[in-house]
Amino acid sequence: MTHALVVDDSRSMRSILGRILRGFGMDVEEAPDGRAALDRLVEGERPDVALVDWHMPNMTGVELVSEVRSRPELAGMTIVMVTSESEPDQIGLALAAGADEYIIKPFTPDAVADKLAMLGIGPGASGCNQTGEGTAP
Amino acid sequence: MTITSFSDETVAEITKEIWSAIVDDSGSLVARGAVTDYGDLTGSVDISGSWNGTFYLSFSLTAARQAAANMFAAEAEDLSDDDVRDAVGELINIIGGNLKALLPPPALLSLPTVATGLPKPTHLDEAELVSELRFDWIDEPIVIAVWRAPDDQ
Repeated sequence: MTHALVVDDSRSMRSILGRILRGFGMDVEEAPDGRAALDRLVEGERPDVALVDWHMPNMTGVELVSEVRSRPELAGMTIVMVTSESEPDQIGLALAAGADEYIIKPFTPDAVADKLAMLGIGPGASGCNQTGEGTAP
Repeated sequence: MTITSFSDETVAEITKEIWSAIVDDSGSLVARGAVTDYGDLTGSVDISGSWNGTFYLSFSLTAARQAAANMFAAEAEDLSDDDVRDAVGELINIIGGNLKALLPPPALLSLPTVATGLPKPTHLDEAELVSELRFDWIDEPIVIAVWRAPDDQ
């Protein structure tokens, strides 16, 4: 089963994204900010993919991405930014920091599935264990 | 497309698009004439950079609680007050981010704040009301307002 970590300071957004990912058959964990996510990544089992908000207290999403990419023990982990920051400059900044993909809020389950499939993850990826349809937020 | 201010049409279009994607896709968020007062719970985000100002999204408590219930996929009565405030903050965060994207860079988005009634920043008395729209949803009022800060005029 694909293991996802959702990092967002909004509980409602974690709920929406978590439902979508569970609908794809994924095991989902949550963290309320970048610092908590980094602590979780260092101490626990590494997820297959982290979906990370941009604006969060304590540590922003871009700071988290940069920190993860600087740690050899976390090398190769897939990171997707999920944010309402949609300007090309901001997207470029996140990708330059090390994000693999970028999803703009608001999103649909299909948009999440498409982005994850591009990374070889989720219901659209070949060989994935698809167990259900995404539920609308 | 970049803009230097916000028309009612632009604010309404983005608000309805986000409402449909996040809260309720039935098309039941309907524009309803003039704003007579604000709601009981208001979320806000500040924009700074090429344009400086604040976006507000104001709800009746009933509307806020039901919107949060839809976002959490839960019963309204099962949610805590913090859950409701979280949902209001996330909605104005997404609306603000999408409106900000229309501005020329640089444009920075603050973290959302949520307060009872209409939060009044120190600049509000001198600020320009750029757009103020009232919607109805589940027979409850929802108001979105865009204020431009005085140092931006």
